[in-house]
Amino acid sequence: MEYNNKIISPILAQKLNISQKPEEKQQQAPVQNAKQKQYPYNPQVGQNVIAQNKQILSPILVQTLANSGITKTQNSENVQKTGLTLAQQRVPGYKNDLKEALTHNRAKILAVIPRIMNSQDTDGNELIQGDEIHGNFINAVGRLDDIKELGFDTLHMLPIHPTGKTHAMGTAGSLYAPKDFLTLDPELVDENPAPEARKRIEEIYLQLTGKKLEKMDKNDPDVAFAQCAYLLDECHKRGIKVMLDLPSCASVDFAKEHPEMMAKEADGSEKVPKGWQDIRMFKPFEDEQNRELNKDLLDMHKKYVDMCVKLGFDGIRADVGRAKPVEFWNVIINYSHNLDPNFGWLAETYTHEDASPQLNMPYDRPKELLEVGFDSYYGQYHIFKDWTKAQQLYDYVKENIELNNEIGQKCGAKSLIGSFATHDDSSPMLYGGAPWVMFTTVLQSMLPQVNPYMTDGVQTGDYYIFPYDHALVAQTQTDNNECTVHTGRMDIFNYSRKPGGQFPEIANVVKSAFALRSNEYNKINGSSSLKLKMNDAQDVITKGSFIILPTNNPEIIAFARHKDGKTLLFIGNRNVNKTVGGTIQIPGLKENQKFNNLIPAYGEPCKIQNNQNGSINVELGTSRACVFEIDNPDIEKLSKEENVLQQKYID
Amino acid sequence: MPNISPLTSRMMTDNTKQNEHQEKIYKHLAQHANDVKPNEAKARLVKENPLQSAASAVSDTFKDGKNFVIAAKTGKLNDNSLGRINDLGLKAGALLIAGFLASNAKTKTNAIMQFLGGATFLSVMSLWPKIFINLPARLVHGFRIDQKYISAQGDKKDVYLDNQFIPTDIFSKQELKDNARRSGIDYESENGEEKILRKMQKTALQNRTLWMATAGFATPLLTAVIGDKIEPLVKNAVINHDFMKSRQALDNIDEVFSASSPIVKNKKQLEDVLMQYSSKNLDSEGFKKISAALNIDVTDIFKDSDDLKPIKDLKFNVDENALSVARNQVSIIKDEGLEETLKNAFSDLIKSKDATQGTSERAKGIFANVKTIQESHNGKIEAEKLDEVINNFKNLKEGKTYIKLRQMLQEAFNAQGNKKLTSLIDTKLSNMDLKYDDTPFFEAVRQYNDEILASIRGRLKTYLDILNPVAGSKDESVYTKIYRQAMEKIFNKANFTKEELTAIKLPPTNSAQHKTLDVLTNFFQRFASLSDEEYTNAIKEFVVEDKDNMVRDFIQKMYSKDNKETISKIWQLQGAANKPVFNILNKGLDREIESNIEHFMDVANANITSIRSKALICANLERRIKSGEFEEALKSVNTILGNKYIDGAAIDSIENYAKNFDTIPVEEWIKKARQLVYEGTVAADACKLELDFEHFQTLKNVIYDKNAFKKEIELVPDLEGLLKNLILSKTGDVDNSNITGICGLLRNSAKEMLNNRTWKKIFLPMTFALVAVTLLVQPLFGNIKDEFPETKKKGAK
Repeated sequence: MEYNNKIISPILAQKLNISQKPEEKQQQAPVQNAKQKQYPYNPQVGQNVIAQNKQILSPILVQTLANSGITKTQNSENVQKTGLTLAQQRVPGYKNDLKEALTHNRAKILAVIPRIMNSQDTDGNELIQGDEIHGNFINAVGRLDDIKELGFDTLHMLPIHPTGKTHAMGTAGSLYAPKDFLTLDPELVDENPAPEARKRIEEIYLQLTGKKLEKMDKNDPDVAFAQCAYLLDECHKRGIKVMLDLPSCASVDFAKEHPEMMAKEADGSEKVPKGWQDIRMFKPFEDEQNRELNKDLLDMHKKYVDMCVKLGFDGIRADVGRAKPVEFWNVIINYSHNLDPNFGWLAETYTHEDASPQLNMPYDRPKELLEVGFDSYYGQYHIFKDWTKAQQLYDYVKENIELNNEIGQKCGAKSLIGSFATHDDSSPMLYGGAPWVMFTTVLQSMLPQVNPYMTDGVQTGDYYIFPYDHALVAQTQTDNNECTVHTGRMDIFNYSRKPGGQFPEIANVVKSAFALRSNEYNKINGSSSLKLKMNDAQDVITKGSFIILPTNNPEIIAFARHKDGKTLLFIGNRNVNKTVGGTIQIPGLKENQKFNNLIPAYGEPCKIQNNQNGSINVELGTSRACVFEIDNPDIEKLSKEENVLQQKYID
Repeated sequence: MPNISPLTSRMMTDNTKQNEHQEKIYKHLAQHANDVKPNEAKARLVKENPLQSAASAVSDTFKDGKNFVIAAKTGKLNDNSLGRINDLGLKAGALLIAGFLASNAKTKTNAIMQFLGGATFLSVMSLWPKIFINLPARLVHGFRIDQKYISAQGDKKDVYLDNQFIPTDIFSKQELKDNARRSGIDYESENGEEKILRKMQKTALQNRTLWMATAGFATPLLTAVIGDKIEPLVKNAVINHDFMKSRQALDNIDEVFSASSPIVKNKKQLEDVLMQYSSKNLDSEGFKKISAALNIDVTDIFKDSDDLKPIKDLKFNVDENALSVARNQVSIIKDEGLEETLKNAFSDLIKSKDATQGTSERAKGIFANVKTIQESHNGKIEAEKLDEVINNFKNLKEGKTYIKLRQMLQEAFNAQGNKKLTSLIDTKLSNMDLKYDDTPFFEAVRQYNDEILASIRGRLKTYLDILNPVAGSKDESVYTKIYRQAMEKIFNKANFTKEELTAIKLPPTNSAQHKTLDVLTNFFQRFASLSDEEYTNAIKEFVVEDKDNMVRDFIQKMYSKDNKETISKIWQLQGAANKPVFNILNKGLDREIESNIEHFMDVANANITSIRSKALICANLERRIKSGEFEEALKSVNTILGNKYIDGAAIDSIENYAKNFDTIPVEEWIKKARQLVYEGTVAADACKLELDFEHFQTLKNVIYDKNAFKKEIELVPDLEGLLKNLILSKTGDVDNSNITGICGLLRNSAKEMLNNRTWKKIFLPMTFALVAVTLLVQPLFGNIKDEFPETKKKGAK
């Protein structure tokens, strides 16, 4: 039996060994307690850890473990010995860096649904029925090269658990109504994989269970685990990280089986989130008044984390982050970091203190979730289309950078995803068609503190309009014969066709924009396309300052990204209906500056004219976005102070 | 525990040393989960007492204003702030509308009420939920449902603004406990906190629904009810304020006059010259004197004595009345500006070449024409033509029309040359009042007169301004107030029906008059049947009740010796206008009111500008015919009708009746007379007989018994004049405000009474019902028993 003999992360363990002695801690205890009342962290300890490790660790974990004396039992030799996770053992050279990628704005995320990811819709009705093959762990691999080619390096894998069948939504059951959190959906198993894949799966099965695989039986839960690990391995081989979506609620079937975990209404009935009749809410507290957590729920999530780490997931996307209290995440996230210090956490939570759908559910407070260990969060970019003025975007960018800078000195960098359209939003194609998708793609690729994010299909212009929308069908896996669809959104309720649309030009733009962020631009577009040296473009975008450029047209979005004398310029027209023109002030602009768009042209043309007086005149086609490399080393100094925003954090 | 796969299960139960250690870490973390605490909510409840709340309402309004400016400048504002600008718009809009309406309001009360009405509307909108919903809810349930909070983004909002998204976590445990205790929920019981939260949520939802359901009715209803109550207070306040202002002005009348009445400084010298030449022809000597008085050198202008010739034979008029009044007021006419004005005007005129030449040429032109006439027309002219020509001269009041004059003369003489005419024309022309616009001198005189008259008019206006708030006929005078109160009493005593009031209040042009004649008859009879005693009592009640003698004092002072003379002179100058004011001064307020009410019916009868009055005449006629007083008069009616005023088919039948007068029953006569008088006087398209007013007056005199009429005239000394004015008022020549005011008061009183009755009948019950329902449903709210079965169970036990 080969087990991961890692007891605690080497970095963590190393840190704990050099931390203060327990006795000293004891002596300081009263003072610390007093501090803790005000603020739970001990910033000093945390900073030491961070400073010396150059690794983002939760200060809480560091401190609590240090206080507990647990580390005393650790043998430093043992720690040195710790090394490869099961996934690392399977894929030599692979290393999870999701946490760092997220926090340092380096992830480029695609949201995928394995059960439809590579569906084979042979009859063209877009619904997978009868002999048609829906997506599974094995055929999903067939999509990976394409995904990788566009530049995506992270998958947000929507839930892959067996779905509840009672009061279900759709014919396959909602992805967010899991019947069980600790097994995988047997429907995702391919019982007849190709020989090469089969061989690999057998090896993984042996690694995970210690047993030889007798039969590729989808009813054997470990076969699903093995096939999932196979998919993850294939991702890792291609440098793609995967985070698994942790549903915030459970199916009706689950609730029946585990009443101890479920929240109850005052009349004893189960709590149902508004608009989702197929799921029931958890009871995060055993005793809410004293804020005593529900142990059963906590245990299950701990096992969920165990499962994810074992299988090789690189992180978790927590559905409805606010559904569980900060104390809950305090345990779970820190525990995950104990298993894998680079385990990434993305919170589905929004910037503003939104209100609660239920009386006892607290507000969205992204700050506290980020403080307790989440690396990235959703934010509000999904309402970008309602921001008719560029200033609204700048304000939001500023708000988030300020939030980051407020907590960044204690907790390190924090980021957002480019949540311009998530699976909870309508396809951006419906708002402004392919040009709009390309516009938001380029924009989110250029924004600070953002990890670009897309839902599978949008990269080629999927409208998410399905002919079977709300049709009644005979074949169903649930108690529902209606093909429930949230019209215009990704189908999470049925076995749908493979996501994708008819606009390959979007993919081209994605490729170019993402290439800038990963220093592969010249590799794709020829060596002289971008003058910046290797790594520079990525640094400018992921680390550089954000400089708002004054314009005389509020619809024009114009900003520069700048780092160490290198500058990229973004100019875009957020209007989907008309060409807009205006003048953009670019402090320090050289008179002979030429403008070569680094993004492939699409739609209506854009015209740029250097006025040779520190400004340019532009005429931008509908939803056009352009990125230019300009030689303007002093732009940051010459810009007004309030127009220059810089993410600050302890690294 | 959930079902878990063998893999996961084994991972958990593995007893290797490493896994044990991880378990240990997990357990430790779980035990110390509470090392972190949720961040404090940035949101906080707003806790203000009513005073602070009022203060913050004001400051919030300013904040809204500030936000509006920000929004206008930058287009940047969050939804909440933007939404609140609606409130600002509502307030500003209300102010603008009130301002606009007030600018067109006829009375001060109306103007003030526009603002107060707007303010009342906004206040009711704000206070209705506070007093009738939130306060009872608080008293009944023990917690505030209008609780506000400052959100994390700094916006002030209602906690229960959106019932599905209530920020319950900003309530402290203690607050929830207190709320629970006050609303009878055991906080410590199972689901205690949830119960009180649910109760708060439900109560708030129900009450906010109640608010939305009732506000649409409550706001206008209460605004109207309150406005109705406020208006008399405002009117009284306005009347009292104006009265006190008048008193003060009367006490300081000299100062008031000096501030408002300009006059020439060295007018004495000028006046002397003017008076000297007021009755004789102007010569160069006179001209020089005037020039000297005004310090103007005119020698260059009138070098040629011929220049003076055209005007030599003309007389000019100085308004002697005006001058005499002015002379009497020397002591109080002190203005120093006029001399300068006059001097400048005169100087301008004579220095203006065009003006001088123009006027001179014009004057010359006239006389040249006269000469031409004299020379060229030696023939005869017919007497009729001569009359016409002379009449035309009479109509030529101003020299400016000399062109017309010349044309007429030429036309006349061309038609019939007549030598006799020459001298006649000459005489006429020499006596003609060509007024003052032909020469600088006359211009000076005219200006002088105008200024003096302006001064005198200013004085009169001052007097009237002082008098009107007391004895004026306008809506807001002490006199009107007392009169109106008397009318109300009488109306109340007469106990008119709704139909009667509806009929009397209808606008004059209402075409339904035929149908309402019977109602009007009843109305009239009822009114007429009020005994003298009742009249007297009603009047006395008010006169006696007027315990504040300030009004009487005021009248006495106003009509004191000093003022009396002045007023009389002004009165002479001004003619008949404002006579009622002087009636009051002469007869005293009591008598004026008394006489007004006594002959109110006759005044109303006489007010032929009003169909209402015509109807009253008809009704009066009917009454008198029934009483047998006017048989003789009826015969005369027949004569008149037969002779002159009957025309067309409708009247033919009356003619037929007339032929068989003796056989016609009285009732028929009544009917026909009513039809006749009504149709004969009704305006516009309904008019059948084109009776002019003079003839109508004759008709009326015939219809009415002359002796009785005379008797009435004795009772009401100026009734004849009053009627005359009424008739003239038809053409708008005379200020009829006082006269129509009396009839207007009748109509207004009827209107008000009817409105009040209608109001009370419809809206007061509605208001009471609304308030009652709003209050009574309160205890039914916030019932959560069905949602907490165990509570129900306990209750059942």
